[in-house]
Amino acid sequence: MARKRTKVQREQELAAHKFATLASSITTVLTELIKWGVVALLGYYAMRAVEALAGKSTNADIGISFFGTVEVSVTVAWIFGIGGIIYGARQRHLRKNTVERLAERNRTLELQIDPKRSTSGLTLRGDTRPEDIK
Amino acid sequence: MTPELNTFVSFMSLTMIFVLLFWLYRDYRIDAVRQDLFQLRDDLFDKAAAGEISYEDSAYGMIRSTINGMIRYSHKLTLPHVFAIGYATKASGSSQGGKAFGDGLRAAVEKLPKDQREVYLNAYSHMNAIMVRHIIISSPILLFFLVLPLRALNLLNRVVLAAQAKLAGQLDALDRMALSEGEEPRLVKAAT
Repeated sequence: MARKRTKVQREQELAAHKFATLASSITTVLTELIKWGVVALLGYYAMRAVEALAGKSTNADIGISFFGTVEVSVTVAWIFGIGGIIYGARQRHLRKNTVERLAERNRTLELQIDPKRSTSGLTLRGDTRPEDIK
Repeated sequence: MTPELNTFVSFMSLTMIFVLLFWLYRDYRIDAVRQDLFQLRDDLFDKAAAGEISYEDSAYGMIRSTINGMIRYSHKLTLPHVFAIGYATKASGSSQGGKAFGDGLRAAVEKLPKDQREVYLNAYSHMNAIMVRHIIISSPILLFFLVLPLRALNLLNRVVLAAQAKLAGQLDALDRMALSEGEEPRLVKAAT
């Protein structure tokens, strides 16, 4: 690195870096606490619903009759299902992008070692060639 | 189904949606932003291999180290972290007007020919755009209330550009931190 920094600048940067790292760590702890807190809350209400199912209490005791209607439970289940499918599709797209990024570099480097290198003939994204599907 | 069973199904689904958004989706976004940063780093490497720029340029080392730092710490590229780091850097009084990284890079490219200078400045701008985009769309809350409606209106890219300009100070602090983290393995290696 050709960038020249004075000792004072370097010390200032180190101090700022330490402070920023501390702030970042505190933020991590806080966000994790919030996330796990929400999971605990949802788990608590699910548990209360199980108690209601077992006849130990009723939905009225839980205090959230809104989630007890068929429309709401079906809608929430659909959102989860569709969200899961979109997530899976995005993961697949990302995997193909990674294959595409690495395949061409791999091919170029291997050709330098073995100019007679053969190929599977798959597309750059690792898909079957359209003409091979027939 | 009884209301009690409906309540149970609702809460189980809500829990799964929460896990999907706050764990699985976040992990996916980290992989996706790393893919984008790897792509940017590879493009820069290829340009140097093609002779458009030089591996020996200090700007090349600076950008590459910063990208490496971003790749390594992309799990911390969240909106709360960006604000916390920006605030901490400002509060520590070492921000030099909040543009130390950008100024350092501009000084590093100052004496280079115009076309080479543009390669580095474009890479810098692209890197920041990747980060801002990631910070916005990796937030499950913004995803629901901002990203999806904006995507429907095709306005997301304009919002990313506007956010990039607004977050210039915070991004600079983040860039400097990433550069410092990216340089670390090299410095440790040089010292041993």
